[in-house]
Amino acid sequence: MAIRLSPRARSDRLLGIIATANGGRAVKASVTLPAQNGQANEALLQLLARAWRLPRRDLSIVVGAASRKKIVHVAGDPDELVAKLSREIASLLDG
Amino acid sequence: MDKGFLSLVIAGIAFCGSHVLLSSTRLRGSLRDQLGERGFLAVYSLTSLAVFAWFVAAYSAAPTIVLWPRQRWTALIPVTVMPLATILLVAGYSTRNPTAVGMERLARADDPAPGILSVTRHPVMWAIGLWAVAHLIANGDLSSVLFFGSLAGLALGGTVLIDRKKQLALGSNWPRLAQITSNLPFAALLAGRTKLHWRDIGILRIAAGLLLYAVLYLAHPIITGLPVIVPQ
Repeated sequence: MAIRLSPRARSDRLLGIIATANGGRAVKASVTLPAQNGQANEALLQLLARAWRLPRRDLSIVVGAASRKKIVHVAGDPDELVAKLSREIASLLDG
Repeated sequence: MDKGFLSLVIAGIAFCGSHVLLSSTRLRGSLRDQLGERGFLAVYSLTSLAVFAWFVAAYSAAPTIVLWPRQRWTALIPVTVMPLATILLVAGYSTRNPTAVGMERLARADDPAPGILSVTRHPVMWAIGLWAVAHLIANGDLSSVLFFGSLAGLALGGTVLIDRKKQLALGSNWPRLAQITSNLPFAALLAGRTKLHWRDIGILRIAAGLLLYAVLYLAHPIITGLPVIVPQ
């Protein structure tokens, strides 16, 4: 899952879907904590766990721990996750 | 229902059920008759430990279903409450307590409520209860409410059940103990029924409690997989 994260924002939330430079799409998210000692990363993973109703331990950052552009790995049954996350992404597109 | 959440519910029922069944029903008496006091306590401890491990595993695999948002003030509750909880825990475990299992004879001592017992006669139970309630509020998701709510309910409900049992076991020594202690922390102190035994508690226990707090705070990512996060 591609993420574009804004640290030091006013709130912890998922903002929507944006187009990325290489023609893909990413979930835009913001967290209030600064990008320091992995605080923003941890806040992002907890935000995703809460937004997508997943156990926090199933989420990890595989690419871009020190960048605004990140790839988050979601562990679990692929079919279940695709169905679940498609619904969540669709609701972001609507909103 | 979500599979992960369902197994948390089952583990929770097993944990609460086994605890209440073994501590507060007739099963306790009949098992103790068969296994002896020590054998019974060994069975009780091992059962509780095993089911608790299962409960923890189910909790960490359960989905995060938000009931209320995480805010700075909710996240600060454990940060501020836990020092009291760790001091109660350390002092509770290192103080002879007439309400503890098999310690009834201590109620006949000159001072049946030494040290931390002037704060509450159930320091360890309150440590667990405060820990659980504080973390329930800070997490604010359904799985946390179930997990920490069960533990808080057992610990704080347990104080009432223990009091009831000890009232019978201690006989005439119970009113004396009840007079100079309270279940609710600081209640007997505020009512003027006892004085805070600072010397008896000792700087060492308080320091050890605060040290435990610091270790738990810093090692939170290692112990739980999650750091302590306080939103700004």
